[in-house]
Amino acid sequence: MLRTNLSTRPFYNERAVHAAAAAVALLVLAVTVWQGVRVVRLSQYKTEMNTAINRDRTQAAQLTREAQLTRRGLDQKELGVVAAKAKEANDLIEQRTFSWTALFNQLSSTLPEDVMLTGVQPQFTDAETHVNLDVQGRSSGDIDTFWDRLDKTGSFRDIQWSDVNVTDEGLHKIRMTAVYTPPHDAPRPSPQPAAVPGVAR
Amino acid sequence: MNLQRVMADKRRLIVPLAMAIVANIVLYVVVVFPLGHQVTSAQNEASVARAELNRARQDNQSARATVAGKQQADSALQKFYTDVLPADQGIARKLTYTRLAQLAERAAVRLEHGNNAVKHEKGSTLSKLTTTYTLTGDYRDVRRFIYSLETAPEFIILENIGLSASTGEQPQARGLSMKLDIATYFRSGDGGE
Repeated sequence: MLRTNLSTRPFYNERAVHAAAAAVALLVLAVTVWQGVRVVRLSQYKTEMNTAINRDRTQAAQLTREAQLTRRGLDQKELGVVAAKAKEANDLIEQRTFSWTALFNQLSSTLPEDVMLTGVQPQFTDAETHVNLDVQGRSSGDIDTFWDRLDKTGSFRDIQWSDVNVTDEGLHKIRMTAVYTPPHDAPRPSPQPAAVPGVAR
Repeated sequence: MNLQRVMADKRRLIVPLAMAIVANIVLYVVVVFPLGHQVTSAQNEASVARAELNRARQDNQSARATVAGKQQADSALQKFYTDVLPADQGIARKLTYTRLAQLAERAAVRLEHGNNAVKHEKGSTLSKLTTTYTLTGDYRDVRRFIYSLETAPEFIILENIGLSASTGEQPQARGLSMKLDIATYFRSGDGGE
């Protein structure tokens, strides 16, 4: 006599279980392949990186040694002397190539009738040319007009005054200082000596 | 569906699958993840090494440029001293007297008074000969004289100009009295070397 109660062990869908197992197996296989490929790629990349690091470091050390050797061959004192001489020569060349004609052209075109120029002195710094102008006028208004006209040329900026004097005859004497930038089309004195290349230390 | 019964029935299928999953997890934790970290570190290290190499290259180029710059500056300075500046004090004095007198004559201005002084700058190989001249002439002639000074091939620097109208009229109209500070340089050879 059969005692097993078949109703307590019903059939289940084996096909679904097999399909799920196959899907999981495929997924595991895919992940395994992905990890394998990643390990190979990362290992190769790491090797390449290490090779590049070693190559760059070796090259850097070699270049640094070469630079040290090159600098060791230079006498720093002598280099300083040459740099100072080059600066001195370039300052002189800058003074030599300053165009007084261009400056006078601009001043002539801006001087009002009752203002007279009594002194002009350019001063050269590293990057700028300052011009000291001694002028005298019949009134402060005349000098003010000259100031405005200078401003409008665009070649004179940061105009400042010092040493104002009013003479017994009523003439206003004033010293003006301005940063001067010659116009681009200004005539250049010629021949111009070639500038001396600077020496970076 | 009784999961326990399925697990029991399909043990032969499920156990290898579970082992494969565990193996994958172990592979990721032990190999792939640390390797990824190592590669990231290597990338950073490679960037640092590349930056060091670039700095070393720049430093090397700068050292070479210093050598080349010094040679160029030396050569340009020699050219400046020998070809541009008056060779000695005698030539410099002649330049500020004879040459300026010629230029003044050509521009029709009158040289009235002049004096000069030699100054040696400390630490420089150059001496400066400064000449102060007083001259008179029409405004146009004075401008012509200044232009001829500027365009003269000799190394003459016009440092300062003082103007006054002797008649008190407009400078553009009539005679001007002008005081010029003119300088030239020559190599004196001592100092700085």
